[in-house]
Amino acid sequence: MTRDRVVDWLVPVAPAERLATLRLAVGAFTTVYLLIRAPIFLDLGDRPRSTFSPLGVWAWLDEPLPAGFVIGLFVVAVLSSIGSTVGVAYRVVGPLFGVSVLALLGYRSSWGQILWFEIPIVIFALIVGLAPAAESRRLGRWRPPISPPSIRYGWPVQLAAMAIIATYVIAGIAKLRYGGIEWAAFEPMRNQIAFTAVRLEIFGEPSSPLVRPILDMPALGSLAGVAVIAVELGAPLALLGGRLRTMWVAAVWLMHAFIAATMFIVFPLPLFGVAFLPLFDLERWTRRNAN
Amino acid sequence: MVEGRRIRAIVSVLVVAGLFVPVALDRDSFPLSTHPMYATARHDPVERLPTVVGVDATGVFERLTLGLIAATDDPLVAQARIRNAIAAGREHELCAEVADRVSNDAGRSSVDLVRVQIERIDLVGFLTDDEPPDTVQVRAECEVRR
Repeated sequence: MTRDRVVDWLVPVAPAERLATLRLAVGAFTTVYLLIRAPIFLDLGDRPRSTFSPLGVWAWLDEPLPAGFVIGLFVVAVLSSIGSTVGVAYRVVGPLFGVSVLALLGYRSSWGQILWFEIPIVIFALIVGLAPAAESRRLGRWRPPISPPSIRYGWPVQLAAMAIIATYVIAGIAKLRYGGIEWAAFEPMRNQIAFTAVRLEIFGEPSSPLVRPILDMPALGSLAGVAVIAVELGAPLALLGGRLRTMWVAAVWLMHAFIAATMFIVFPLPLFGVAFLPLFDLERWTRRNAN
Repeated sequence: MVEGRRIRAIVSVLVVAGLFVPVALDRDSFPLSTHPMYATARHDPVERLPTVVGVDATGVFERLTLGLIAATDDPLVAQARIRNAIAAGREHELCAEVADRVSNDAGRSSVDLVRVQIERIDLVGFLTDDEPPDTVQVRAECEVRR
């Protein structure tokens, strides 16, 4: 591939609707996610100071933020998520959306446990928030815009696609680095599934009814382990598009569905499909619906 | 146009490379992360798991809930909170917090004591044969004041 072709691939031309549809989906998902988990976010202001362990954009803090500030940050994140979804005043709302989601979710992970499944939400919010994502599919301007397809719209979507793929590759590398190739073997996989179930039960919560039958299925355990590693390390294939992309998306969605069903661990962005949207020509879907 | 495209391409490469920086440094953070969730290979089915339980007047223990233990709905968060408290020698502080939440829960009126403890459990035996924990190490105990 020549340098120009690489550049064309990294920075493709796309219609405004593609980026706008991604904005709409990310904004709506984030709004619902923040509202459902509002009690957790609002509780952050009352946590004991001794459990505070700031990281990321908050690494410079010596003490937790005042409770009122945290509530304010949550309100700004919710309002800007709603604003981003409908696409109003986007030059202000968009960046506010990205930055406030980064700040809020980063602050939430600053209490002794990083919540990795929230990282793709932040990445998507930052990318669509800083892009010209409201030039179509916004309140009062649903129809395609007059402006022609441009790299301004294609580049952020491609960047989001590469970023989400990168997170899967990194997760695959982590398994090989910290667990070794035997991570995928039956016994470690069985123990991993059993661990999450027992942890739930000692915290007084029910575990999945599928766990006990699965513990007696060595073939399934081994297959699942190998499949997880293959899906994560093979993620870049999805960037080639076409059937490879569709097959990868189906495989990774099944992986998340299996994890959710057996371990009650939910990765919401991929499970609801939003994580995979940048891999598709979204304008085709919304045009079909608009017509 | 061409220049803008090249600059954007360079930014893309830098952003993706930036996502891999934690991998190179082996340092996890947020949102730049090594994504190490459930990445260790669990060769041994026996685990030492920290938890918090309630105990009634007759000495019988009962499991509490994620909400009572750590004011969360995420077991990962609850586990980290107990582990971190024990590691920092703050298990008595955690015990008092949980006892306070239990005292406000009408459904837990029979709970007199709260215990922060580490249970050594055969994971598979626990699930398939209802095996109790091998050992229970109590790290803190506190009264539920009503």
